[in-house]
Amino acid sequence: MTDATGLYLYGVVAADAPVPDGDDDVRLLAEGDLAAIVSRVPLGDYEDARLRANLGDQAWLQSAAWRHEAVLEALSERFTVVPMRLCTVFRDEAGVREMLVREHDLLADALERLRGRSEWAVKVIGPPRSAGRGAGPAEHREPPGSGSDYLRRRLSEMNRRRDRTAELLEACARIHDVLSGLAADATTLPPQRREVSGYEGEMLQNGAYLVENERRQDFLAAFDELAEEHAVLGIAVAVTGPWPAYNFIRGSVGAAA
Amino acid sequence: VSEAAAIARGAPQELALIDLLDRLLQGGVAVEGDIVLSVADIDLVRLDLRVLLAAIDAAAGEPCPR
Repeated sequence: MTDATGLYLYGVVAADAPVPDGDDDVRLLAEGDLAAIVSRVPLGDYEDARLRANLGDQAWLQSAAWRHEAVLEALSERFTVVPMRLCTVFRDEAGVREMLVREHDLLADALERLRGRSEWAVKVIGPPRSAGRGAGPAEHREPPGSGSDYLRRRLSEMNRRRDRTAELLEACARIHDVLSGLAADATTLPPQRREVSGYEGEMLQNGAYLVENERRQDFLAAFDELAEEHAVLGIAVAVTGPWPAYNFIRGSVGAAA
Repeated sequence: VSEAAAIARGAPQELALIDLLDRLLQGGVAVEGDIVLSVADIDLVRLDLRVLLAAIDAAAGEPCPR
């Protein structure tokens, strides 16, 4: 570990954006028409083994995640922000400036495309397994009767499951279609696993929608309708947002879409 | 401040946290260059489950601010 400091990069804004208030450590580093939102951090926290350990430390990770988000949110209500991935740290100012020059076109395009838009997360959750109408094998203890009875039961069970799966797929497609229709851009992320999602049911769809801030009410009204419509089918739909447009910057190294 | 905005629609804090990590660990711009080591360089396939599980446990252990 070292005592040296580096620059943590939260995101990029147009050079005429104001310095975010509420956090004295955060400042803007301008280069041409772009500015990096940065703060000084101990370099040692972000070096290889130490970073891996920190990412596995729940308190450290949570506080890093919310801080990153808070800094971006403080600006994104009024200014367009291109968000960086968590824990992007440069050794010095020269490194940040060089990046702003090298990635200028990508960042400037992103600023243009994201203007006045925010990302919303809408997840579709299937019914918890225990709530399924399917009788598990354990409930079929009685003798199977004749072979044709058994086959008939098996067939009807298979058909029922196939119908149910089709119903769920159709629900996901409809939800994505309706919300995409109200969004400037849309994508789906890998569903979160049940162990981490916090939901009892399986996550069927993990949608991300880039929505004009002016159309936010329409988008949320459509969400409310979809949620109500699908609740009777045992399908839950959940929304969080507005988020910085983490999933709508194309062409960056390793970024989604 | 950030929590309040991110859960404007009433999602519990731990669910908003998972959505946030989902974005921060896989989304956002990942740049090359004079960086120390970024999350983008880390094998998230191995890392994320452990990390996110830990995050859930931590969030569940805290009173949820509304």
